[in-house]
Amino acid sequence: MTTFLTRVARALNSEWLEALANEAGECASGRSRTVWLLGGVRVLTGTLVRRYGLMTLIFSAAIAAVLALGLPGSSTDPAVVRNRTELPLLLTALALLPVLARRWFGPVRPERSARAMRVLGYLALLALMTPKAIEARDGLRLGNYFQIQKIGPLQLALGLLIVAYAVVLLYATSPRVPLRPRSLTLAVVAGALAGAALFLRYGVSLWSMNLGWLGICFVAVPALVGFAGARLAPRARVPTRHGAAAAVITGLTAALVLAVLAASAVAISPDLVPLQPPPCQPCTAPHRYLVEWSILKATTPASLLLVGAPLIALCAGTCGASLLLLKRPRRATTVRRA
Amino acid sequence: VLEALTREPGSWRHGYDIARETGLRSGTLYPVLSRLAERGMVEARWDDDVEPGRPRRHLYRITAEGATLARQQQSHRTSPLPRPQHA
Repeated sequence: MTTFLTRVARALNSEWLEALANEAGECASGRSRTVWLLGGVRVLTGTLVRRYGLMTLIFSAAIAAVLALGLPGSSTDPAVVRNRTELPLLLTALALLPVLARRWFGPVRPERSARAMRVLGYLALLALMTPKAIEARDGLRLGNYFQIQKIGPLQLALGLLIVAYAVVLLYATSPRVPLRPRSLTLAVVAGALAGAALFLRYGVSLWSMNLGWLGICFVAVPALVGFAGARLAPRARVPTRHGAAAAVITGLTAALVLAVLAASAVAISPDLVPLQPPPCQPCTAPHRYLVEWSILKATTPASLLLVGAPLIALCAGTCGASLLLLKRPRRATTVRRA
Repeated sequence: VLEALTREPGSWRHGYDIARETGLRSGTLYPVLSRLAERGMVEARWDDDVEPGRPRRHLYRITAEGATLARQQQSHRTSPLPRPQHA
């Protein structure tokens, strides 16, 4: 038990728990050692609840809600069964990522703003999965009318994008990005306001895929921000680097909030989505099933565009600028003679 | 805990000694020590000078701030209650 507590203490980076476990050897009898180590278990429980309790509670409730929405009843259709594995797999990946990110990027920054951004960002990603949950639910219902299609590349790409957003979120709230709490709060609030304003302006027409200038902005702005950030970062002073990081966070927050609002609007009133042509001709399915079919068909590509385009453009801009910097030969240093 | 540490103000002490003196269980003592250290009342460090094969131990010592607080608390406890004023 002493070894177990010591190992757990080291894994949790808790020197107080390690100190307690190391003192167990001083106890005179086996009984007093057991009592001492039981105190260690109590300290460990308190540490776990303080560190992960709230996050675990929120995440478990959100996962339960998404699964309850997406997995009602049973089905013998092999396509439905296969499609339904996607949601639990994605949720498991999201649950494991913070544990892995702790090893790669370090723990979450101790400020309240970073913790709040992590929790809210995760909740936003779960909200974004609502259309996927609806898809899984409709997989069961629509099976009575149409042949169910198996998960395609678009759905897989959307799942990967959600994971990519989670990685960016974990990185942005780690000590690797030492943004001041005020800058981080400002960036997130500005992004959320921009996303909400865009949703108010465009509303459900976001699902029509004819975004025009908005679509171009969604690609161009993050690409420019990524390019400028990567170009300026190596030689810039700290405020410029912070500015670039804050701009990236603002852009991604705006994209995420817009996508979440659009997904929530569909979840609340499915009739908002424009009706798509039915998969069978002539089709005898009732109107409500055609609506669900339309959600299935319309939301996945639009979600990909709303969430994926800014992230991909940002990465492309950053990589482009980094490649240019690599290609450029280093300036030779000359020593001026007196 | 502060009183126990005040008895030997300059010396570093182990958690097990403090637990024996105060009668506190480990599950109560260590959170108290952790909070006192966070508030600057107690200093903590690892004792690296241990016999080979034995785990290193954590040491604790009261700070000047902690000693002041301990004295204040003692004086509060020992001072008589003010006598009620009769008209």
